[in-house]
Amino acid sequence: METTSTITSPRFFYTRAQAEAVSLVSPNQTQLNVASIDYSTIEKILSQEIQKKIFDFLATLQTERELDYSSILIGKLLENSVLEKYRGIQQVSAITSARQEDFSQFTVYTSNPHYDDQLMNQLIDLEIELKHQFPDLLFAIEYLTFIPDRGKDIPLSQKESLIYQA
Amino acid sequence: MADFLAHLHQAKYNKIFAIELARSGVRRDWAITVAFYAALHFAEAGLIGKNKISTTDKNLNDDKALHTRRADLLLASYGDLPYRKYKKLMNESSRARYLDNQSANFDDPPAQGYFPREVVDDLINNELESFWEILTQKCPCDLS
Repeated sequence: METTSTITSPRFFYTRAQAEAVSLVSPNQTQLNVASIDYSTIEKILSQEIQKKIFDFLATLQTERELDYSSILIGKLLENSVLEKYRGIQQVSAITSARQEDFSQFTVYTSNPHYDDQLMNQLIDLEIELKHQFPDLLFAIEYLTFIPDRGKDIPLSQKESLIYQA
Repeated sequence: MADFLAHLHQAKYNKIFAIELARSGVRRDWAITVAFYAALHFAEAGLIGKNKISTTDKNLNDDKALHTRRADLLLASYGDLPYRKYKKLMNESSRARYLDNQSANFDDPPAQGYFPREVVDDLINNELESFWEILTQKCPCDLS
């Protein structure tokens, strides 16, 4: 089954399924569990401190079921790493993620009307780092450019829809 | 499965065509794309030459798309630097073909205005060329 979500900088948008899939509930922040959470809890996950704890936690996963959750978490790490670097930078217009079975495909869209490969280079470095840390996780990052028509005032919701269909 | 020499010949053929396209200054999207497919076939030759494996081997039973599987095999076999160059060519190839520019004049392909000529030249003369050199040096087989 495939699930798709769109995360638009600087705010994040999650599907309900995603929000319910990942949670940080341990008071001492040493363990991740699956439970229903709200948006503010996700924001807590998207911090550097928690990111390290997620990395530590992923290193302990053993079973197939746990690894399935880990592929969701890797998405969070990726979104976190990218968006923390580019929070508020309009060039990053959206990140979509599509999951099919155990495989996650992330597509980063930029809207810079002029050629710029700096973001792509950093994303490739990030991808290499994650692949070294989690060699068994199935994921890939694609990088595309979406330049909206500056002459038209496209509402954000419609723009997201266009990105979603791309 | 195409064999080692078939991939090597296709890589060289594509590389020459990419250089010709880049020199013409037009069809920049296809110059970049052909450069990526030169790298792709060179990577396949390098994987077969080093590890006797090909991305399309049926015994590689994973859920990865072929492009991702090939890139991951390349990373595992040859390390970060060639992977970085390969992924850059791969990403730019996708971006050149699927560039969505709603402001573009449809008389002119979007990639033609988006990718400066020096960027196309750099992708072919530096990124593809150095990818070629690294694999040639690291592969125990003869990729020349």
